[in-house]
Amino acid sequence: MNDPMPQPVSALVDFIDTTYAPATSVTNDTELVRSEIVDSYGILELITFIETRFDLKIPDEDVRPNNFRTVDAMCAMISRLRSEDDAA
Amino acid sequence: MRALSRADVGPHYLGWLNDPEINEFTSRRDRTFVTEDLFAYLDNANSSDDRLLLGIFTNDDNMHVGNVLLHILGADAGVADISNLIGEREYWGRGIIADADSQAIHFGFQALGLAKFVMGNIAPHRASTFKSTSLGAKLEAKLRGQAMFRNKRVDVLRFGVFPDEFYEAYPDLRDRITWTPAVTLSSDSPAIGKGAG
Repeated sequence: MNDPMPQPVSALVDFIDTTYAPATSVTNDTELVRSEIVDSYGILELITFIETRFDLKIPDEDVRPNNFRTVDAMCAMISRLRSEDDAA
Repeated sequence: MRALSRADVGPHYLGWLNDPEINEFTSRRDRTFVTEDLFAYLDNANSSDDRLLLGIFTNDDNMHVGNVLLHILGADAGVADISNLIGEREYWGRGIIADADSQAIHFGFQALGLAKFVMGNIAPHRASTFKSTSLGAKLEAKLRGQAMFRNKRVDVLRFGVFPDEFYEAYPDLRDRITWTPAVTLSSDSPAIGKGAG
């Protein structure tokens, strides 16, 4: 049996806390770029992490700031992409 | 940022253009450049009435770290292409391009009277895609299989941004004149964009 799909919130928070070591652990609505926790390279790492961990392909149209602003924003995008995958 | 001259050409600048990693995502990646090529490029840009080539220099030690090029594609419609290069690896991922491009676009809208900026990249260069969308630009076209990258055919993405979209992304710039002294054009800088401002 396959491993259950990881929950995006905890997986993303763990990844960000481990990779970028912010002064305090990020929350769902921490502004990641504005608070300079994640820079432009960090966005690439987040894209790679999401695509690998959640077995998704983030379309070019979704590589935009609003989708990576916070953990919540990334979770919403992941949820939407999963729904679109299921519907396909 | 300031205009570039032949005095800025040296092993440092030339080295960027011949570095495969720096040029991995560009059309320069399969070429070898010599000093004369750079002289010709700068002379051409500086004598052009539709291009403005600016070097990006650090405030601390005036180190040349990259370039921004504005190229007016249609003066009547006020449309310009913007492209860039950061040659110094230690400045990658630090928001230099976003800073430089936002200043240049602001300058283009406010000082040159331009109405739209366009930009593009190959689809695998997702840092560039993110940079463009961070500037408020919208994906306008996906040119399927338009370029080769690592022996694979890849899409080319084209983006465009109008002033209202740009200033929504950069509201602090909306009413601010930032090109003096942030952008200093030399006295022999080219007049650019006939009728564009």
